[in-house]
This record gives sequence, C-alpha cells and structure tokens, in this order.
Amino acid sequence: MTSTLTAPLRSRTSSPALDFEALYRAARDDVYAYVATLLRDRAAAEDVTAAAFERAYRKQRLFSASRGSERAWLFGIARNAALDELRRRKRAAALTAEPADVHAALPEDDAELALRRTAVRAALATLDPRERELVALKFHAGLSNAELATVLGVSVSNAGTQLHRAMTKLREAVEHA
Amino acid sequence: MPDLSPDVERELEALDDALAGRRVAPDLTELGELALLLREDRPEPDDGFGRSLDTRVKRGFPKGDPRVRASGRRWLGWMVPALGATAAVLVFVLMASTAEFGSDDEEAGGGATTAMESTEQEAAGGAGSAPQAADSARSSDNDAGAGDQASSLAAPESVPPAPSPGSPGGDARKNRSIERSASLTLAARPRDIDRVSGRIQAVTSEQGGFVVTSSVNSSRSGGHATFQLRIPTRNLDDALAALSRLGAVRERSQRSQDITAETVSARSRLQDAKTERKSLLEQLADADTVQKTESIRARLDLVSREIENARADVRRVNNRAAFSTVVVELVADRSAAAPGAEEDDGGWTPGDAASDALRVLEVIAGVALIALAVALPLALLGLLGAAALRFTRRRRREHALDAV
Repeated sequence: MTSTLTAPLRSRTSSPALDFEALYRAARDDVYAYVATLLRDRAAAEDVTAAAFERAYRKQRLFSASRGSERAWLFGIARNAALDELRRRKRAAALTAEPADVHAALPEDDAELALRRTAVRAALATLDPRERELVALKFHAGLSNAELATVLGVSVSNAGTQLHRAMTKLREAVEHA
Repeated sequence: MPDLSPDVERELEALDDALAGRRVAPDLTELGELALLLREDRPEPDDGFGRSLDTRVKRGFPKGDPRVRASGRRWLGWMVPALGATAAVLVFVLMASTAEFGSDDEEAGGGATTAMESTEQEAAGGAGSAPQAADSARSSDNDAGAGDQASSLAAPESVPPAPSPGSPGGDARKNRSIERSASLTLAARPRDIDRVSGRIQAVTSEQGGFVVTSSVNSSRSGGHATFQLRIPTRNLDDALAALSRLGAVRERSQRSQDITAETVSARSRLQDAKTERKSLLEQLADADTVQKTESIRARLDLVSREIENARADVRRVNNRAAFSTVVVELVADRSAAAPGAEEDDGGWTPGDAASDALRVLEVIAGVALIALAVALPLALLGLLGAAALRFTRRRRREHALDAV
C-alpha cells in the first residue's frame, strides 16, 4: 500500500472520527479472512470483501463511535455483505473451493503440527455456520469479545457464551479427528 | 462478562492470552494452542486481489461512479420537499375553491330574500354595504320627518287635528305623528353569531330601547338569531346605523305610517271628556235637588271612565309613535366580514395590509396543519414500513446463514 492513498481519502472524509485509510490498512486481510471462512469460497470472498469496503467507504459519514468501534462497524458491514451474498447465490455446503486449500500445499516442517492443523481444519468444517462465523470473527479477524458482540448484535456475555460453546465443540471435534 | 461462569470466563481469558502471546495456565495449554492454530490457519488474500483492492480504494471506488449515486441522492433530496410543496398547494387550491363555491351558494340564498315585502327596501349583498345602509338610515330622516316627530312626541297635547286630505296643510310635516318600524337582516361569520347577538342587545340599550323578544341559535357550522326590538323613534336612525355596522347588511327595510289621525282622535276624545266633566262638576255645584244631583253624579262616573279610556288610548298611540319596532335577523355566513370592520373606501391602507397578512398567515397555518395531519400518519407509516423492512431483511440474512 502506498502513501498516495492519503490525499483522496481524507478529502472525502467528513467525519474526523473515522480514518478510513487506517481502518482499511488494518482490517483488509482480517475482513477477507472472516468472509472467506464464512463463505468458504475464495472468489466470492474477494468480491464480498471489496463490496464491504466500498459500502464502508460510501457510508463512512454514518459511522458513530458511540455505537461501537470502527472495526465492529466495518465487520458489521462485511457480515451483511456476506449474508447478502449467501442469500443471492443460495450457497450450500457444496462449494467450489476451500480457503484451507491454500495452506494444504505449503510445506510443513513439523509433521505433527501438520497433522494437528489438518485436524483443526476438519473440525472447523464440522461446525455449523454460526459457530464457524464466531471462530472466524475471533481468530481470523481478531475481534475482541466486545466487538464480536457488536457485530452479532448480542450482549458481550452472550457472545462469550456462544464462543465458548463453539470452542468446546471444536475441541471435541479435534480430539475425535 | 459478569454473567459467565468462572470456568467459561477463565477459558475465554486463556484464548485472549494465547492470542496476545501471554502465558496460559498449564491445564489450558491445549486450548491456547488451538487458538493459535486457528489464527495461523486463517485464509489470506491473494497478492493480486490485495493490490487490486488497494488501487480501487486509492481511486475512491470509481467503478460504482459515486457521482451518479450522489446525483440520485440529490434527486431524492429535492424531490421530497417538492412533493410536500405540491401537496400543500393542492390542499390550498382545494380549500380556496371550496370556499368559493360555498360563498356562491350563500349569496344565491341571500338573493332570494330580497323579495321581502317592504315599503322602503334596500338589498345589500356584502359586508361593504354596511356603511351605505347606515348612511341610508341617516338620510331617511328627511323622508320620515323623524326630527319633527320627536318634537311632536315631546308635546303630544299640542298636536292639532289632522288636516283633511286636499287641504292646504294636508301635506304639512310639522306636528305629524308617525309610527315607524324597520327590519334588518345581518350576516356574520358563524363564530361571531354570539358576539354580534350581544352587541345587538348592547346597541339597543345604548339607544334607550329594549329587547321584546330574542332567539339565538349558534353552532360551529352556522347559526341564526332573531330579535324584536323597541327603540325610541328619535334614536331609530342612529340605532339602525349602529346595528348595520355589526355585520354585513343583507337586507334592510323601513316602514312609516302616519297615525296623526288616531293620535288627534284619542286626544280629542280625552279633551272632550275633560271638558264635559268640568261642565258636570259645575252643574253639580249648582244642583239643588237630590234627583238632579244623583243624575249628574252618574253622568260624572261615566265621563270619568271615558277619560280613563281616552287617556289609555292617548298613551297607546303616543307609544306607537315614540317607539319603533325593529326586527333584526342575524344569519351565519362564512364570507361575511368580522363585526366592526372598517368602512372600505376603496383604498388599501396599512390596516388592510395587516389584515391581509394576518389572513394569509391564518391560511398558511391552516394549510400547514392539514399538511401535517396528512404527513404525520404517512411519516409514521413510512417509519413503520422502514422498520419492518429492516427487520425482515435482517431475518432473511440470518436465515441465509442458517441455510448454509
């Protein structure tokens, strides 16, 4: 990313509370990771990620810090875009590509680690979409529990409970893998 | 996270610790490793996609052509007030046309009453004719000879016998006794019916008269009042002028009747009876027999009764000349001017401007109120619709996630 991004973006930004450039730089890969995990389709994830940033860019004036952090706001937009994509394409379990395929080709130094990583991927695939979304938001996007709650529209304790339940299920799936 | 159990809270903290690179409790090491594995296994975007998105961000997402979208929003921005203004104008035009039709109807009804029988009749069609009616009332002094009549009423005993028709003094107006009556039809706005009714009674009292009968019916949409007044004839013209100023004069009529003959006749009979009694009293004084005395006394009783009757007749006929009967009919008319409206000399004064401005403000306020009454439910419906749409969209999105 180059520094020439700064001028046009700041000229469009009316609210000093939101630095879109900084948000984009900090969250681009996180948003992609979250969307790719949710959609399990790399091509669709790229489209949705781009659409989410475009929506955020156009609606940046509507951001209100009182309703949550910039990242929570951005991931709320990304989530809506991803769900719209799911609705539009009526995606089901049968998908053309898995995000994990990228890592499958990478060399592994530690065979045990490779096995464990494979087990985690398999376990992740057994989770239902909502649980997988929680994992994606927490571990792929790096959101805090409070941000996670804001994105999902639930209380922090509820988000924690859901996350704990998903992790318990994931651990069990890993053990049985 | 106060609602979580200690175990859950501890495990969630272990996840955060592992992701932050902090030490994790030995019994939760496996959980920490799982968290790190999950993070390391996250999908990464292709470099090509990253560069492409960077470029689009740098250019401000030109593919969507924000200028077109902005113009669309601008279109919405001016379309809403334009629609509102159009609706307001339509409501105003509708109200104005409705008022015009209503006014025409009422004028047509008013015209029908001009066929009323009267000896002196003026039909006036609007509020502006009130001053004319008042002037006419004043000018009728010459026709009715009210001034002379007042003097004749002040000294009724001096009225000479009525000259016979065709005599040189037959058309003389001096010392004539005239009975006068008048009827007046006024129009006022429905909301002013009660106020004008009160003013009619006040004017009657001010002019030394009294209300014989009155009937007032007022309602929000209309109203009607009828008064029968007795007003001193010497104040009749002033009273009519004052009454005419209380509303729009729709009709005014006056009637005069010469009752000089009746007046003279009554007074003559009284005078004759008095003369006879005087003569009888003289005869009584000279009576020298009981029979003669009793005969004179009987005659005196009879004459005394005649005197009393004659005096009553004189009072009655004097009263007819001294007080005029005025019948005032008050009708509701939305187009009528407010009571006490200034005379319109055709010029446009600052007072007129202020009145017009006030009227315009009233109309604007009315239109705004109507527009608000229409817009408020619509806005409420719109808000409810938007909320329902938002709720439905949210549910569909969540459903889409469940369907995966």
